[in-house]
Amino acid sequence: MPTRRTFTLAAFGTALTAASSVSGAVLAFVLGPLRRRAPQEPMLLDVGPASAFEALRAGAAGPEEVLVERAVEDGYMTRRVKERFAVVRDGRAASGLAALATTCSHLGCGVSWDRGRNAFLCPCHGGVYGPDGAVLAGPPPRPLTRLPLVVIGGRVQLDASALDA
Amino acid sequence: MKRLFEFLESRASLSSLWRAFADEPVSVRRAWFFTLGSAALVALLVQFASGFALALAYAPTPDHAWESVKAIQTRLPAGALVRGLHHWGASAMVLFVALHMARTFVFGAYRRPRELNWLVGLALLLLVLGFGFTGYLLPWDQKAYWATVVGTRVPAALPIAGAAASRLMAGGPTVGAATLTRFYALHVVLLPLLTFVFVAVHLLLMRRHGHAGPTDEPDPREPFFPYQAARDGALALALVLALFWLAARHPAPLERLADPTDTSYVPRPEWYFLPLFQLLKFFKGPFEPIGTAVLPGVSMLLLALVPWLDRGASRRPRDRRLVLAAGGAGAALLLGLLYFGALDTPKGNVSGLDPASQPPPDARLLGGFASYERRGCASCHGAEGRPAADASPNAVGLAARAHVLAGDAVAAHVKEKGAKPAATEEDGESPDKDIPSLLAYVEALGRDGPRFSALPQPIRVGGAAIDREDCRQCHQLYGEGGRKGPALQHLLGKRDRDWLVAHFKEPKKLVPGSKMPSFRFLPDAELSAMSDYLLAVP
Repeated sequence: MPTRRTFTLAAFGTALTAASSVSGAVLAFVLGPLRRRAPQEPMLLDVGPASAFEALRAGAAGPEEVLVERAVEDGYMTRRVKERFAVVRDGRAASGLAALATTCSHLGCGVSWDRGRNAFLCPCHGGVYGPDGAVLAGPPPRPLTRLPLVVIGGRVQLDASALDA
Repeated sequence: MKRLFEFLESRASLSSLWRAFADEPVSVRRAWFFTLGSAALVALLVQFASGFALALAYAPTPDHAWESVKAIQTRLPAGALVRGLHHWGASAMVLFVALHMARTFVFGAYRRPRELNWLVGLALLLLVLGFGFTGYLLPWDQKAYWATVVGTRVPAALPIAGAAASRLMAGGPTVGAATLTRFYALHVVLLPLLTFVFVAVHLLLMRRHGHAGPTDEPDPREPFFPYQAARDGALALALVLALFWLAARHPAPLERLADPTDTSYVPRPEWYFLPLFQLLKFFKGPFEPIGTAVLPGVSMLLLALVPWLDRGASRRPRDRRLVLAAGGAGAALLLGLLYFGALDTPKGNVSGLDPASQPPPDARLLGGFASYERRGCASCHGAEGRPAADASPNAVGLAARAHVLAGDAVAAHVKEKGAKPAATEEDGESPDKDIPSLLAYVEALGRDGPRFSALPQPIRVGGAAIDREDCRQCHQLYGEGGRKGPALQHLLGKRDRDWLVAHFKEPKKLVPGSKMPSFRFLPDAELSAMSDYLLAVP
């Protein structure tokens, strides 16, 4: 014979199971963005003709900012976004060039090249990076993200597969 | 009428409820101090009402958010007023919650048996800040975007779950469409529900234990109605009037559409997050989590523990010197950070509907500045006509010189000494056609020494391009130029950057019968900068 006690336990148990099932489904949805996509294929984005960066490669000019457009998956849509990179000299790369993301490694503000100070400056918390992207001053914990540039058929290409990883 | 009240009393005991509410005994001394909480409640009601109205016309997608807010601000009836109320109401919320909390702290009103209500109040403070943080992303303008980029990256440096928390907040690796829908859902569904529940509990607990009253005897009481109700009402009325005045006189700002590529923008958060923002400047590299998590977390924990740390018998300030000193030091620190954060906030942001932004310099001067740099004038005359302190004795400064040489002599000097501009002029234009602008710039340098290098990049680049492309041949700019086309002024509000760029590329497509040539040969970045410049011209 069921007692009030067993009824109460069963009722609570059932309610708890139902509530946690619903919460679980909602939680799985809310936590969705944590799932990372598999590493993408190499994605080459055109940066410009190699001739445009001759002076830079020869060390006769400073970093050059370029805009690169790519498609990113953003929530429910795929958007074409423009991103700003700085093309800098890189003696170790075959192309002699590398791209730096102009996103501050501290909290993501956009850094810009300041010719007068020969440095990348972040307007938010005072981060300063050298022409090679190394931290010179301020709170940034890491250098600017460096991405390889390759020259294919006279065009400089940015390998963007490492972005968003 | 009498029968209606009798009906309501017999079916819902409404009159008895009202009596219980109105007859609650409240303190007579320090009575005005006990109006701060109700002012916060009034501000919250303003937020609920105005927020509901805004949600009717708002679209939480990156493609439409800014546009819909702009429509609210400029086209929809009473839109600017409602948005102004919501904008200023948000600040009022934070202000009155903070004042109410400071009052409770100084009065020691969190003491037993009101510890739980102190914690509920703390939760409400966090909810209000959560409203602020999720709310100002929604307009999707520059401030919204960049403040959220910073805000969502704050947890990223924390050990273990930091990166995941940051990703969850943004709804993906970067701030975008998913961030907007997330923040919208939090701002209009979850946070209001939680706030409603917590406010209800806060009020019920307050009534359960009654007013704490002043810190010492005597504590005479009177019914809440009418005197305290009148005080609450007076402050509420003053607050609502102030909000209307602010909404009418200082419209809520809407900056340019969010632009992730614009590195010239200087992001600054709303004033109530400025202390936190300022704090982040002090902790470098691996110590960053101290500023982002440890200090704010420890402060909140200490606040939560206050009722258990301060538990003497007397609530009088002189018996609680240590606690009050600690609280005062914390408040002073917060205000100091706010002050220095505000000092460090530049005014130069080029913002769409911000009437306070400075008009840009004349395009000709910017063109001259560009050719000053291109021709290498700075190698002898210094950047912006100011030679460095350790420059050679031959360096001749130009800024604020007593006399200025005749134009012909300067032109000859430029042709002789200045670097020739690269031969990019394809259709037989003189390589020296920039000299008149350069002369105008040098003349301005001698007169009042303007400094252009601190201007936002789009203004510099755009102004120089407008000068180089000789837009003044057909258009008036700052009251000077031809009259074949419309004057280049008051464009803000009528056109936006995307329209202007599209128009530069194909004028006839957007304005049928236009005689303006296409400028599609110019790089996109330059067209965009020219648009920014024109939008900034008053």
